[in-house]
Amino acid sequence: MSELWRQRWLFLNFFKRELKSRYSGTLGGGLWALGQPVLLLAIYSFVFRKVFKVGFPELGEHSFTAFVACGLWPWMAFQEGIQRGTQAVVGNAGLVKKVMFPHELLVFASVGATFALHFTGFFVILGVLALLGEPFSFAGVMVVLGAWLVMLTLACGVTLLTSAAQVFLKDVDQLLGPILMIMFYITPVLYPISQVPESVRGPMALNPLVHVIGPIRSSLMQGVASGLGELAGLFGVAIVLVVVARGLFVRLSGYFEDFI
Amino acid sequence: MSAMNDGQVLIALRDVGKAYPIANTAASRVKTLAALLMRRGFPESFHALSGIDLEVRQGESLGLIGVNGAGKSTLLKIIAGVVRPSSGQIGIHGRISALLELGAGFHPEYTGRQNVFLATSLMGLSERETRACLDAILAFADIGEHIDQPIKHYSSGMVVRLGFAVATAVRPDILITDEVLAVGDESFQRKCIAWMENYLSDGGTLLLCAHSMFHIQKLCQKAAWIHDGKLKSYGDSHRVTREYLAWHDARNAPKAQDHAQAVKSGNYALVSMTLNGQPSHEGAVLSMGDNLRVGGRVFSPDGRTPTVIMGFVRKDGMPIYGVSSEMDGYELCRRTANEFEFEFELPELSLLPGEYTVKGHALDPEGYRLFDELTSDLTVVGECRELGVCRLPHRWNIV
Repeated sequence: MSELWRQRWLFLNFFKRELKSRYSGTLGGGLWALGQPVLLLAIYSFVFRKVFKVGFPELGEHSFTAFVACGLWPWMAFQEGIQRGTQAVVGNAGLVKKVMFPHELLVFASVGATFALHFTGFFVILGVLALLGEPFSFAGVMVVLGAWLVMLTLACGVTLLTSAAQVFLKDVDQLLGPILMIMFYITPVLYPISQVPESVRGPMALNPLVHVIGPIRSSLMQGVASGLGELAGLFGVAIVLVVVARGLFVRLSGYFEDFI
Repeated sequence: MSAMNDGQVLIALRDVGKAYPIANTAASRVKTLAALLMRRGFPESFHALSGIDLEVRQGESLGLIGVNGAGKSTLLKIIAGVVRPSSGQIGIHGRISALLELGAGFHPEYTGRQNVFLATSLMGLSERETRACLDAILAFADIGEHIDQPIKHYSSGMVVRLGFAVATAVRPDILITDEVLAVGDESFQRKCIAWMENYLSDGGTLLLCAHSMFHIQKLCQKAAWIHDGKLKSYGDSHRVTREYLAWHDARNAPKAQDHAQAVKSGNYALVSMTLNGQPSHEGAVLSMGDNLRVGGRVFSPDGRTPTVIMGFVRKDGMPIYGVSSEMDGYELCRRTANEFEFEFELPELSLLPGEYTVKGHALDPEGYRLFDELTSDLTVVGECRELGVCRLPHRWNIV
């Protein structure tokens, strides 16, 4: 831990580099980070509101668009964070082969940068929707921040494992695509958990993201802080995951140079 | 650096070895990954280094020499901490700055200035510390306005300048450089060498890997010769570099005793060669204008007709003429199932008086691969006032 603290300047540099290089050379710059999820949001709104004409009691006075927005940004951060972060070690082969530094910084910087972008995008979209008359409650914003932190910790833990494995097995990246796609549909981003049949709800509760997106929604849409216990428990699990994953990562990191 | 006593051991390697995994198939990669997670070694491995014992004290300079692939870079990487050794112990005391590849920490889209901050943070410097030595870095690199251009537009020499400038800025306890002197231009090389000499006289410790024996002798008190992953010789740099060069010469020189081995190992081999009937090792003395007949016997492992090349070079190595049997459409005569004979004649030798070497090479039938070589001294004597190496057919015309 103290080792990581001493390397904070390096982390900061990696982090800045991630942010800059991601959209450098593009005209849109950081707008691309916002643009992609907004486009998705527009499509989902069209398909589900205009075509399927969905409606459920949880919406209350909110629009379906606002409902999806609350879950979509955290999900995008999680998915993109893992997918980009998995390439963090392999993508910096030049550094890993030639310079000594804690390799996990690359992973943290990559996941962190993705989260920073989507976190910003999240509040921009909430602000825009609120201006358009969406009655969000911002009283429970601390719960939302906490939920994002849990999400970030989870993503870091997973990515430490996938990025190390990716060095040895290029299949990891290929596998992640379909796995994350399935995960998207079993995570209540497009629907509330209450609409899921009773019999499936038990197994679905095993998906940690259920317990992150739930509190975000309830605090923003209903102004109620619910599921805080689960969230805190999940944070503990996420911390353990990061510690264990980092242990395994460090065990493998000495051999990255051999395989990369 | 100042806090350290003179002569303190900064780098200590005990029986250090490095094995690289042999994992080419997906299955073996999975197996290796599992083995590493269980903290076992590699299932299959190739030993790049083994049994290296080395000690470098404060203020010492050590040069690493050896042929390509001997393990020099692996050893430097182990000391720099980039590679984890698979056996043995390693102790490092002091701040290391390693230039394993110039510009390794650089990002192509970044400007030179931004890259300086990235590179120094890789060495553990904070932003403020970097700012403090930024001027010194820029002055050393001396690339002017380009510092605010993206690195991708730099020439390789400019990248080298910047990389070395960053490495020198932190004034490390131990400086490791791998073949970096070879890249910069003449004046920058001189600047680097001057910096290193100054650094050494201030008590710095240097590990240098170079193919230039001149640099090793100039900068290093000691040298270590790595051969096939083992420490072959270690000690005074002049002695070790001499040994190494002698070994190199011997390796490159044609070896008579190799013919038996070539035949044994099943390669095409020039078994013997004669010059006007004299065996090749005796050489021949001829007068200019004499006939020269080169005869030879060639071993063919598979009974196919080999190709032979005849070459003539001046004593100092300058090539004069070479031709192969395949070019002339000449077929060697079969003597036994695996032995062939040839005779090559130069009527009225047009070489001017002097010392020459006649070279015979045995090749496969296709003439792709050169397997074996025999050489013979040829002395041409005679009275002659012509200039050059050989007489060209000519005439003077009446105009």
